[in-house]
Amino acid sequence: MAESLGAPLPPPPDPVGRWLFHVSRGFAALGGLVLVAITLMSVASIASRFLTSKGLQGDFELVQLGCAVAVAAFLPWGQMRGSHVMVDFFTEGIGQRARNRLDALGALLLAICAAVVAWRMVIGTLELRASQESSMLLGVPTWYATLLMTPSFALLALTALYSARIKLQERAP
Amino acid sequence: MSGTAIGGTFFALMLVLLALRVPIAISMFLTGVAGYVTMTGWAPLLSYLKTVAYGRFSVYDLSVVPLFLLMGSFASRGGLSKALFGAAGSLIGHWRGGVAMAAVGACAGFGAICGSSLATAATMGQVALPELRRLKYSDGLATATLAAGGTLGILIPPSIVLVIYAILAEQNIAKLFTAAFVPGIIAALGYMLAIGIYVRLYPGSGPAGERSSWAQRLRALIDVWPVLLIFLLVIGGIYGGIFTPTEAAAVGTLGTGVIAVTKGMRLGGLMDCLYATAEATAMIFLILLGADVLNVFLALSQMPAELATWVQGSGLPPLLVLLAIILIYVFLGCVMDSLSMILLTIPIFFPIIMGLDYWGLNPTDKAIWFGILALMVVEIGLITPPVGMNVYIINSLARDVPMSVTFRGIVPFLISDAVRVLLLAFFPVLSLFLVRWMG
Repeated sequence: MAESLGAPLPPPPDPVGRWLFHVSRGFAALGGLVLVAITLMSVASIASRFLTSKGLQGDFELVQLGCAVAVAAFLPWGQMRGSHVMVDFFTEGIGQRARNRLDALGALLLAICAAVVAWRMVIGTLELRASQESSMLLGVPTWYATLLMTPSFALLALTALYSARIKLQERAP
Repeated sequence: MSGTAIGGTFFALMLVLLALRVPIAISMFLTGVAGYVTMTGWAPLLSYLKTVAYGRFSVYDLSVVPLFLLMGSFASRGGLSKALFGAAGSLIGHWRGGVAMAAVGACAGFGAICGSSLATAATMGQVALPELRRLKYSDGLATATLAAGGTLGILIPPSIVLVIYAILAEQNIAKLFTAAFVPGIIAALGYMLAIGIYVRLYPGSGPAGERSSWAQRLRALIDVWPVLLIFLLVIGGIYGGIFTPTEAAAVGTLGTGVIAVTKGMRLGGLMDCLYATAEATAMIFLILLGADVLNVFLALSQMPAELATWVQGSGLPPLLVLLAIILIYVFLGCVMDSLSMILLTIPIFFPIIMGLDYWGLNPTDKAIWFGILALMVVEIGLITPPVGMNVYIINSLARDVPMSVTFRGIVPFLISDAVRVLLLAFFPVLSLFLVRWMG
């Protein structure tokens, strides 16, 4: 299961790991700022609803779009922090080496899934752009959001690949 | 092969992946993908994958999840957990076992502004554990109190697990939050009662703390007004239909954020809160994504519907079915986290429950009653061996206490949980009367 929620964790010592760590954290920071923006906008909308009996135009849509982009941006950071949950009950008895191999396999599968999703999202974004699908009130094109989400899934795939490599290199204590 | 057979086969396959340490989200995702392809071929799957992430992440009701997480993060930063513990301690700390009861009360109070058990356990643990140990509470009682008290984080609304249930079962979040309120209070009182009985059976395990004067109590109570105000705004706003849950969460996030800033949070602290929120959000939403793919496949296979029809036609007593479901939850809770359990099982169990008769409840009432019951049962998994997450968190704060001591200390709380689950199962009115009364 997930360990270390929120506990401080230093960046990995190797250059690739350090780079991934900082880029993922940058993505998380940007996503976090979007979340703060969503908060402020929602409160502003409530305030305007009380004062003028009319909320901000399209506030729900902006929450949806912003939230989708922010959440995707959080994913690579979660992977770098090793916070994705799994069941470790049935493998407690096997050696550390075997456990590391299984973890590497899990991370590799995650990388493949994330890469496939990223690839499909590129196609999806192109199609959404062609079909000009957009949000109801503000007319924000949906492909803006999927375009902003795609790099997060690509980065998630890279961070997961990195985790897999680290797990394979790890030696039993 | 029939749909049910395919569904069952792939479900079994997923359990194998889970046992092999594949992340829960990816086990669900891969199983969903494999099943989908078996049933419809590659083309529909590839087309579905184009928008699945956007479709899942842009659900308006889900936006409360990161916001509640950020709100809880700010609340811990702002020292609200400390104020709550101080206030509760000043009132009942001089009872035997009173400081532990105060910790439970403070957990309940923190649960009212935080939707996550782990965050509640971690935050309250940092505040209350040193005090309990200073007063020479027995190790097991001190750690178990906080591990169990932490579960109040999801029992008392707002609750992230309940939000997910509401979305899966297509129920009203505000009504579910209303329904969870009284059972959450019962949970807190039940834990306090468990402590009270325990310290009478084992005198010396929970010595009385200092008695506070009324002036001290008044001062301590004044410190918790921000918690009360935010709770009233958030929950009152949702119950009263003034805000959507997302808006309420935004108000609460801003409120706790402002408090954190007045207590000295600067840019560095804000970023720490954002990173912690990002990490917890990533964990939850990756599972949501995997569960979405799995559930699309399960729905396609018709397995849940066929299973529900079969159970309905089998003439099994509804209470026996309910008991079986509860036992499955308790068992799953030993190896899985609460959110994954809800995502994995509700699509299958919900149609079964809805197809049976329980005390003549109408469908909406039944959905609410079962939701609260499921919430109570999955939360038990957080404090049962071998992988009680809350126990791990508390033990990481008190490394000198062996895990086995904490698990032994948990027993009175588990008994309290079991009694409460029975109460809620047999008296749906406990969950429902507030919902009915609020109209």
